[in-house]
Amino acid sequence: MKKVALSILLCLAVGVCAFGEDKMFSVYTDKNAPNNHFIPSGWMGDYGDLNFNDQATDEVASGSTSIKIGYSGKRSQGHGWTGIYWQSAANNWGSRQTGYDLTGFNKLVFKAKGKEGGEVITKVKIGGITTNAIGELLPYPDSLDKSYGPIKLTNQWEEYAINLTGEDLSYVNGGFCIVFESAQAKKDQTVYLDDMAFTYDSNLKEDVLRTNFPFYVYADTSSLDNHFVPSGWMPATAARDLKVDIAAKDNPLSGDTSIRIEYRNNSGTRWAGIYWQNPPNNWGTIPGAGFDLRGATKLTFWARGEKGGEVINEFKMGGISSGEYIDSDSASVGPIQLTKEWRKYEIDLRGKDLSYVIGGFAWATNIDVNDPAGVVFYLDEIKYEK
Amino acid sequence: MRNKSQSHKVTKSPRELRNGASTLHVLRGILIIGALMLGCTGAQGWAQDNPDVGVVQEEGTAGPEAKEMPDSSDYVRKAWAAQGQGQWEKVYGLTDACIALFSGEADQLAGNLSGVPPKGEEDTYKVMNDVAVCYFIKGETLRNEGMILKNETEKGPVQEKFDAAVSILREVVEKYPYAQAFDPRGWYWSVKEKAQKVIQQIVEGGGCPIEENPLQKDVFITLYDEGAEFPVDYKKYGEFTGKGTKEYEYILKDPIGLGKAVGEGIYPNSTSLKFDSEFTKIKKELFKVDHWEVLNSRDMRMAFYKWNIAPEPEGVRLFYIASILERSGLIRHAIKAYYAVLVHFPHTYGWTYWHTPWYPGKVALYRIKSLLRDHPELGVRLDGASVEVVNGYDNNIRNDIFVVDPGQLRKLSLWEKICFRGIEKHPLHEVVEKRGGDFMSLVKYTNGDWQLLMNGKPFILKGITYDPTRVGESPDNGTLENWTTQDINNNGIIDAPYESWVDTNENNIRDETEPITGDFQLMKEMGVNCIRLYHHPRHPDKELLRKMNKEYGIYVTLGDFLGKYTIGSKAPWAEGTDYDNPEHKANMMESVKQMVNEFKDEPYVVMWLLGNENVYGLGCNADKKPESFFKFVNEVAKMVKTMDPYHRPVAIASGDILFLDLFAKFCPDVDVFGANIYRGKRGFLDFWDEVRRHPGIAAMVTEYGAPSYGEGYSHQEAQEYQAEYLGNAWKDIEYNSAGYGAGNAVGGFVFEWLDEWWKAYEPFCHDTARLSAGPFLSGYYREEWFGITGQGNGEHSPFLRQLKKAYFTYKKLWNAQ
Repeated sequence: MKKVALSILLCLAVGVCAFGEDKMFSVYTDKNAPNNHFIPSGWMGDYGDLNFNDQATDEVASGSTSIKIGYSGKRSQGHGWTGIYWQSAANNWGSRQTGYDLTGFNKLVFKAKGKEGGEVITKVKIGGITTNAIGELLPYPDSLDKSYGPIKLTNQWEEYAINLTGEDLSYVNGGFCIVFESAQAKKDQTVYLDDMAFTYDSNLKEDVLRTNFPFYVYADTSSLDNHFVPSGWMPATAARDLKVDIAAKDNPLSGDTSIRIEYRNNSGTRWAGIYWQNPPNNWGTIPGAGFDLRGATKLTFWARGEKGGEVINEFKMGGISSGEYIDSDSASVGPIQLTKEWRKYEIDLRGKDLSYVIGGFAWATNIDVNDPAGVVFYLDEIKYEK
Repeated sequence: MRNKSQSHKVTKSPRELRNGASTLHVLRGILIIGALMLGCTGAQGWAQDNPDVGVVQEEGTAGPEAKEMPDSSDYVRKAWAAQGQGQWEKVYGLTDACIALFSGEADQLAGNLSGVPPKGEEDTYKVMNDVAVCYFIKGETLRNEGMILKNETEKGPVQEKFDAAVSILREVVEKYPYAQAFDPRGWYWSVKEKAQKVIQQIVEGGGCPIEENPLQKDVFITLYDEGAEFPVDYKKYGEFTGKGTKEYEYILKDPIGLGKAVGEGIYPNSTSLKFDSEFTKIKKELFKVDHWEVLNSRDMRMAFYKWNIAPEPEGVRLFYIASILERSGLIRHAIKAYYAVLVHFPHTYGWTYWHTPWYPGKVALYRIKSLLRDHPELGVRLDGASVEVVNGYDNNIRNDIFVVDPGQLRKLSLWEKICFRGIEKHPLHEVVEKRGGDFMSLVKYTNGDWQLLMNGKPFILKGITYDPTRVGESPDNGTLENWTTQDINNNGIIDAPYESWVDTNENNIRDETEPITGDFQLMKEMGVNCIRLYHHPRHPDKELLRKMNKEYGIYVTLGDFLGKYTIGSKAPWAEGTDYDNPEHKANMMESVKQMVNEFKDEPYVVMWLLGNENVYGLGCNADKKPESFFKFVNEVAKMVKTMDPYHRPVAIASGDILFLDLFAKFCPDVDVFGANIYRGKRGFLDFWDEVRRHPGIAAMVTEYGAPSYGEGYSHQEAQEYQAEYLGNAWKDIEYNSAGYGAGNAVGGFVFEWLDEWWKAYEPFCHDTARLSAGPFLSGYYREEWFGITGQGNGEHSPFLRQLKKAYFTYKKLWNAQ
């Protein structure tokens, strides 16, 4: 708290111009630099997949060290994602009041590069330590929850900036957070970070909420345009019945890959389906996670069956309702009998409330309408259109 | 209904399929087609049919001592069988062996559980369940042995048995609290709960547990947006193509306009709800409610909101929204919703409990018809609508072809309003075909209608199934007696038929003002003209039936099970009756021959009845070999006709309309298509039309009924529901008799006269347990509450009768003409 008070005092002392462009509040400049303010203590998800070094010297953007993070994507803890929070005090998950008042700053900048190029950071976050595992508000929650990404890195240092105009920075505990997802990351990727800092940019304006269409559920396996993850396997027995390859190379409609889904009634449950969710495994329990897709009039997608004649009972968007923060609407089409060749289908969204979409896309079918031996089908180019 | 006639085989693991496997008998979680069930609401209701469980080898076939047992379930089967046969030592041998062999694995499985395994995962815990059931069987057998000894011997050994029983049952409660046993009629029961009940009975000396049923209040739906139109003119918002063909489709062009016309909760309107302040208030709480659990609750508002966001396919969701609206009394909105199912989702299907498909589009159509008939004040009629599911009579939905015409829902003209009375009569014209003899005959008229005649005069079967089982008797224990000869007070008068009395004030005491009346008299007053009986395995007393007919004017439809539950075929239970097996067929022929020979000169027999929903399987393979079954049925029908000098009609008692097309093809010599049907309170829906389409003969309902019990409802309310259900059913039969509707209904049999207390389990207690889901009040079968008369507290069984509301409803309906 002393630090916060001190910063504020300093700011006041130098007046308004204190927020000139050269002012900054560092997260990390160099290992052990006196102006570092946050500690990379909050490891999440598949932490076993990470190899972390905050005093790397093989690649630096400035100064003498950088942060080098290796990510194997092996799902060591079975989550399929991992992340690190830079926290205001080591391991403070909102239980102690150690955060900073950064009111006035309106931008976060950082530099990053990949070892080879093509590495993906799924998300960078500022703030967001607000609720515990069961959704209850923490005693000292971050005053903002801002996400940015995904980012595909090159093998050169590049600067990235996150616009924080209009955000409430009065209490920042999670100063910086980096998230990787195994579905998006390169195999065994290594990324470098340097010079993360809060700054002030007098030219920045508040982001106007505007979704650009087409808005992709799935474009290509490595596409940064993908906005939802096929994490919602249904029902509980689906793991025995489904095989999903989101990078199928055989005869994609466009790009390099399509999604191949193999459904066999191994469990005897007789039906299965998958939801594309944001974030993964969100069945309606996570606040603030829905995309605002108002303005879209249809959800289009391409599909084909391996043999032709496969029946998908329902293709759907929205309709996730197992929590407090549920999809604002749902729409569907089906049953659809697939053809051997790619064909485009569409779900009419006119008149639908698309203000909060967490279930971007879903399909479900049943063994009774299909070959008892099971079916294989492909999906591609799933997107919301105006 | 579970039929007691197989008592010679029945063990504690009842293995009869309920008759309630109607195509409308929809179960939670079994609506699996594309069911988008999410997260915690996902895997539910997977009570998979496991025909193997409960199959017991015949005595004399290889027992555990004769060959190596493949798995723990075999021990369970054989132990149940031995218990049923009263072979105590064999029970202990089998259960001890099971426990010794498998308890290691069972303990390990039990260690993994902190609650009852989710539905659908019962199989994973099979060994644990089997071991727990073995404990239970052992404990219960010790109890049974103690009960028998109690009457025969000193106190010492009795107490020993009881103590041992309590000890073993306590052990199972402690060790396997989450074990479940499968009842092959289709539900799981908790071993712990049942063990605790048996312990309680031993400790407290046999009292029945008192079940709490707190009364709930109805919460009705208040619509925020009723929609701009009724009926909706769909042509304004889209285009109908391929009406009346398999290519039918409604192409929606203006979803926003249609949304405004239909209003809240009806496809495609999903937004009006968001302006409904009640919905906004409880929206964040709704995820805590299970949509199947709330579907039949008295809180219809909650059910409505929940189903609006339920993770089910659109067509299924819309169908249930319509049914909730109907329950809430919003008939116009319900009709609109049912009609929307027909327009948008006529191809939707769901699954019944027994994994037979059902078609919401078709049901929606018939519910609209029934609602419009009951509500002429709406001034609306449905013209030209039809849904035919070609190949829809089997269990395979891949071959289904839907021929759909949603017709038109339209307002009546002023002239039509003046003339229209809801029911239309059509002329019969000439008789073009006659079946049967002089005494009982069936005639077909020029217009295709069928009528049953007795001595040339119209006769409609006002039937009831009559099994006045005394409280405490059960085929499970081998204690079931023959009511046609039962005389427990040894006064030379048969008990139920002649000595029952009505406990008018329901105080469970026979007051001076409550005279002995007898069931025959009560039935006569009610208007019953026929009871359904089977000639085996207990033999009906002919003299009694003659008197019943002579003095009370009640006739009999006499049946042979035709191999169902293996009765008549002499097939071993494990194998079941095989309709291709010459030996089984010869035995069944012999059984039918015996029936006809013995009863052919009895004046009260009006019809011969073959089978009892054999098509569902269970002790026979008619479900797997329907073609062989129906071919055999026809052979039998031909034989009966050559033997019966009076040429009385021959009917089948099938299971709903399963395999109706095969019946039509292979049974030309059967005169009446009869079926047991449990389809909810709007009657028999498409049954009559389907039978008219194929095979085009007379039709009857060999069983229909509803329990007078519901969770959250008082007995009074539940009786009102039962009366309404049964009343609607009879009206439906009348509406489809010669000259009306489908014109082929010749009658039906209410299931049943008296509550039978053995059906759910403990024969001394009037069980209220939810068994499987069913289209009844609060959504479940309550097997012991189907009687239209009750037995009070059971102390005066088999004499006491408490007449339920349905009795009076029928008295009025059946005496009206």
